[in-house]
Amino acid sequence: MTLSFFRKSMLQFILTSISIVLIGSLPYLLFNMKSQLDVLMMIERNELNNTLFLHDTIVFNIQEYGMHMWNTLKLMTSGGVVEYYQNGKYYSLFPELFELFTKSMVYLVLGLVIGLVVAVVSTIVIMSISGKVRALPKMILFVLESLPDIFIILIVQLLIIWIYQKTGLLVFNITSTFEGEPVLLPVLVLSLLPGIYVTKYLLLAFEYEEEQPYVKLALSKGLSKWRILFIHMFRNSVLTLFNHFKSIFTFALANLLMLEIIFDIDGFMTFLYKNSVLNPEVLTISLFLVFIPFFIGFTILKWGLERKFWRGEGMLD
Amino acid sequence: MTKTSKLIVVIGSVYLIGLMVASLGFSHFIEPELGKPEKLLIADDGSLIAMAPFPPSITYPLGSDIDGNSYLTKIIEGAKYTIGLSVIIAFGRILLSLVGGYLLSLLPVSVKSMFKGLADALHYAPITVFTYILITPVILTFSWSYGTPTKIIYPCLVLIAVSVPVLSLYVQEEIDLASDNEFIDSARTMGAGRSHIFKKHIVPFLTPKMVVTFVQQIGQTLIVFAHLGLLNIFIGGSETRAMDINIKTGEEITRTFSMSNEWAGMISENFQYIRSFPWMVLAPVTAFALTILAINFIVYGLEAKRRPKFAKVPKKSQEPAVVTLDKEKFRMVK
Repeated sequence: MTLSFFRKSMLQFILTSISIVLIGSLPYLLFNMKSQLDVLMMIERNELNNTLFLHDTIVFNIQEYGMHMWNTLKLMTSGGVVEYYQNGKYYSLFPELFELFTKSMVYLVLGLVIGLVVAVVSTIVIMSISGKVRALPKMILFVLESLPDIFIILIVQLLIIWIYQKTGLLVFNITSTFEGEPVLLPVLVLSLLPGIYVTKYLLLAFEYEEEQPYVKLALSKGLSKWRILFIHMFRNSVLTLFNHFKSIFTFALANLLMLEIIFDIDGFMTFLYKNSVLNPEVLTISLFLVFIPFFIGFTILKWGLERKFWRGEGMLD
Repeated sequence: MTKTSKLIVVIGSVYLIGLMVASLGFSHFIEPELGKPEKLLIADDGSLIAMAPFPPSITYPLGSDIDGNSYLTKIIEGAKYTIGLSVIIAFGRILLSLVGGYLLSLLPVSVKSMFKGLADALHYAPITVFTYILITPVILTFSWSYGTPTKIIYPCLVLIAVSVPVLSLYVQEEIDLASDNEFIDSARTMGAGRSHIFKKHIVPFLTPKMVVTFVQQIGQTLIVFAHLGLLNIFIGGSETRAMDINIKTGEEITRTFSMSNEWAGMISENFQYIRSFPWMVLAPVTAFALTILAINFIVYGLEAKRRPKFAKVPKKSQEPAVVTLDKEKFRMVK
């Protein structure tokens, strides 16, 4: 089982890597990047004032596409100095990207962990109340998860400004200042939406488990409600939750981008937003930076879950 | 359950259709008769009360923009572009992924799992980022070299294409799930061809799911629109105007304007005023939020209708049925 699991994960790793490289170079397939970049550089150096005579269309440049993929791969494997272009100058990518990456990932991981913990606690609280009263928290959850993330982020920010205006009490630091960047509030906001999603999926899983015969059997045997809830139902629900966790993670990444823009944080996602259009290789490298650690994390988690719960009898999928 | 789910679907649809009708009606009947917006709010005695942009009040329920246009009318006017575009994009996504899913379902299992592995990369970056990177060169970075038709059609195609891989895989899974049914095997043994099975047995299975997915995709597209608006990208024609000229360097300071009152355009146009006049951003974002909520209402209702949670079994009467045999009731049937 260990070997087949390892082989499967390896295959998944290779496939995802291939498709990251394929995605990262896409701009070279669709645009004449080289000539466009030349024109852009000329404009930014003030060598070109009039662009009205220039015309271009969407192209299908397979050769350039292949070349760029090859170059990106060479760049990544040789470990050479990677540079990116911004406002007429070239900058070195590497220490900068790592710093931004660690900073943003601290936000992301902290947010996810807090969201997860709060979600588990609130699910258990909701589960412990009886079926009819549950409709209200479920309704609130439904409305909250329907709201787009930028709405929630903006509302939270404006709420804090409003509290500040009314009471003179700045609950959290809301934007980047000379004294530093806000930490606590972004993390809390970031934990909000994943938390809501986790609660939703956990609640669904718990309610499904509640109907299972083993719960009735355990109740009739005289096990306490809490013991069943915490040990038996929780264990089975974690498996379902894990299957959804990857999409929650993607969702949290999108949240992170919006958050960094609204809170004016100089982070990994804003760097991607500012620079990856002109430098598609930045996108490829950044995607790998996100992909590799989280893939390893997910795989280890999956392996652990499979070993603990399935005892080699099946695969999680 | 069915009653509430129906009600929920009705509420969501009424909101959406009402908004669309109001939006179309507004630009056809009301807007031409509207006077020039007031920039200054002057009291009866001639003293100045306020200057545009006005905060939300009774006359301006969602506040006003710099020229004194009420945001409520702007949002109603823009609704047809935003909602219309997202419906078109969602429809394109469903159409292409139906084709894609059908083609995928014909392939052997190993190829299917390979495609699944490839699509997994989309989990490590949000769809907004992909869309942004593919659209920006046309709309912002190299905007000088592309014509207006390209600037409108190409982003829509990108928005459609980004979701097709994942959706096709979903369609393929649903087709495979439907094909596992026993009656498909029976039909095959009875000599039904592939296209007959698809038309008669798989399409009816697929249709309700696709309807739900279609509505869901409208919501997804709206979210991507809102995100892209924040990233300064909006569809429906943007126009970059030179606002000012920096005297020292001779550089032009430009601002992008949305040519219609499209919501995403309104977000990106006004994001710079978020601190001073928060309602200018909050109004379109709230419009997005309410519309997405309405769409999720519809999805929720449709899904609840599709799979009733617990099938209600009519309770049998507890008393043992007393069967009386009456000789008279038996008759010979000829």
